[in-house]
Amino acid sequence: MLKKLLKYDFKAIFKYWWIAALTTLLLSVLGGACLHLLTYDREFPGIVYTTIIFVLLFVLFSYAAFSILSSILVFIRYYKNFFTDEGYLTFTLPVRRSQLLNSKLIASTTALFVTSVHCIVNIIVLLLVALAKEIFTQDFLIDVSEFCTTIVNEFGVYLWIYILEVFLFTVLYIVMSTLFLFCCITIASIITKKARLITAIGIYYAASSVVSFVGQILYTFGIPSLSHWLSKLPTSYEHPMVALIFFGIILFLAIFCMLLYTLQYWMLDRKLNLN
Amino acid sequence: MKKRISILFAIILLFSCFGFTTYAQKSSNTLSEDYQTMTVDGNNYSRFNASMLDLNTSHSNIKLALSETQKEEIATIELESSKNISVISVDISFKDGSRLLIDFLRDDLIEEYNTLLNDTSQEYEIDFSWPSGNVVVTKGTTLLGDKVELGPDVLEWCTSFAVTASNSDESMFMAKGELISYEDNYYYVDFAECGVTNAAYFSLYDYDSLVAHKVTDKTLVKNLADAETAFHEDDMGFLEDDDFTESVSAVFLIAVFAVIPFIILIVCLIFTIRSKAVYRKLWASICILSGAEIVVFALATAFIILGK
Repeated sequence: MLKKLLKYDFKAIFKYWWIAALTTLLLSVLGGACLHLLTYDREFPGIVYTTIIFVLLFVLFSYAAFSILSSILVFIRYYKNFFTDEGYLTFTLPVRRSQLLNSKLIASTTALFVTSVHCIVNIIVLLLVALAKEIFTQDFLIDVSEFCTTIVNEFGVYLWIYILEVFLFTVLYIVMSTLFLFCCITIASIITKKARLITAIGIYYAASSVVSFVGQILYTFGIPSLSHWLSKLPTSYEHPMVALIFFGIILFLAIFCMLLYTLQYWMLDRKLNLN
Repeated sequence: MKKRISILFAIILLFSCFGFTTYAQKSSNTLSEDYQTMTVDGNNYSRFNASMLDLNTSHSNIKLALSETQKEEIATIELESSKNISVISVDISFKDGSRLLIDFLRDDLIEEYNTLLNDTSQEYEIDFSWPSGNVVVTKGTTLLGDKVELGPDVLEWCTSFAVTASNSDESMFMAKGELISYEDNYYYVDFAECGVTNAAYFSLYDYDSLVAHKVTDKTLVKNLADAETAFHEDDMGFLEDDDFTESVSAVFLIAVFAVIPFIILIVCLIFTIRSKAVYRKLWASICILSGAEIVVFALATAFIILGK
């Protein structure tokens, strides 16, 4: 049954997502072409430069708009499917509450992850088009190959550990962000009957300010001290310690995700009153 | 009547003051018509090349009495002077649109300037910038070891530090060269030998190769190594091996990565025991993650303490 739920969630989220994705990809090509023009030695009239700058700004704006649109699609799906008239039908389906929540979570996380990857692809396409002359040469490929060899030699097996940890961190961060906003929407729906979205935004803003404050203190005090202590260790300890500390941060993130998931499940299970 | 006399007296006083000020402003400071010399406050100044000096000048209120020819040619003239008015920078904009930037040095300092420029037996300072006061002082001759040619690899990946010399009262600072640190060796690039005429525009990245002197004096090499170590280890005054700051950071990290997971572990354990099916699995998974976090934190702390 989870598969069917996922199918409809993916359909709902990606219904308009692919249009935005295709648009940003085409705009990346256009932006790359404009950047490429700027590298010419020729002098263009002022109006041409102005147009190029406007196009580039529009491309940058489209990237931001695409990311925001993806988030909006995800959360509208969640809100509509659970807290509007649709919610009455959703909660009468012969599925467990956990399956409903898991379906939303998996679909949302996948959508946001794919959005992040697509943004990176857009930037790469823009740079490839802009710097085509320099990139598609043998010298550049040799330089890239040498750089990769240097990185592999420098980090050894720890390179793959770091890549895995970065991937895990990214996924957990997206899951945490998704659950965080799900919780805010659910809390708003429980405490108010009217203006739920505005209340949800208010709760999200307040809660994320607190989290940002704690994060800032951690960054200000924790990271410099940690770097200071690590710098005093023997060189052979460096990579194992960095991997271990990163793993600790991932575990901390996982704890936070599970807590949010439990809270979210509990609210959907016990506290939701759709009357 | 009394009021009218008072007003008249005030007007006369005002004009007198104005006249006196105008008279007082009639300056004896002059600039020669060939722009090679000037006289300010009875001191003579000669034009010189200040490109190797760190001038540190600021706006000056010096007024120049221009000749009739100069008044016809010059649109605006602005002056800046250094401490003790040892150096005066003159920025002249002419009416034909051209511009002239010239520097003048007080004549009694010319000998000191030439000593700064040419004497390698004077004391040079190598400035490691951070922490403050991290300066190595040495005779210029100790830097002039065997000549070597530094290639692009060295110039691209080295660390460099400014080498300067100053006169006795520190009113003039001259850039003499760059000290290059590369793979535990030190090299000195002398600007005069390399034909560098403007230190402000010098950059190692502009050269494919440079002739430098390898520093071989053992005492100097040790002093440079100590200063460079202090430079690299300096945290710009934030931590400075400050026990209090380290303690605050340690307490904060322990609170976030050990105490909080421990509290979560205990609370979730209680909930696990008291809850039913679905919730029991959720609480149990949080307990396992919290336990794992505490173990990882303990391992990391043990490594840091043992490593110290």
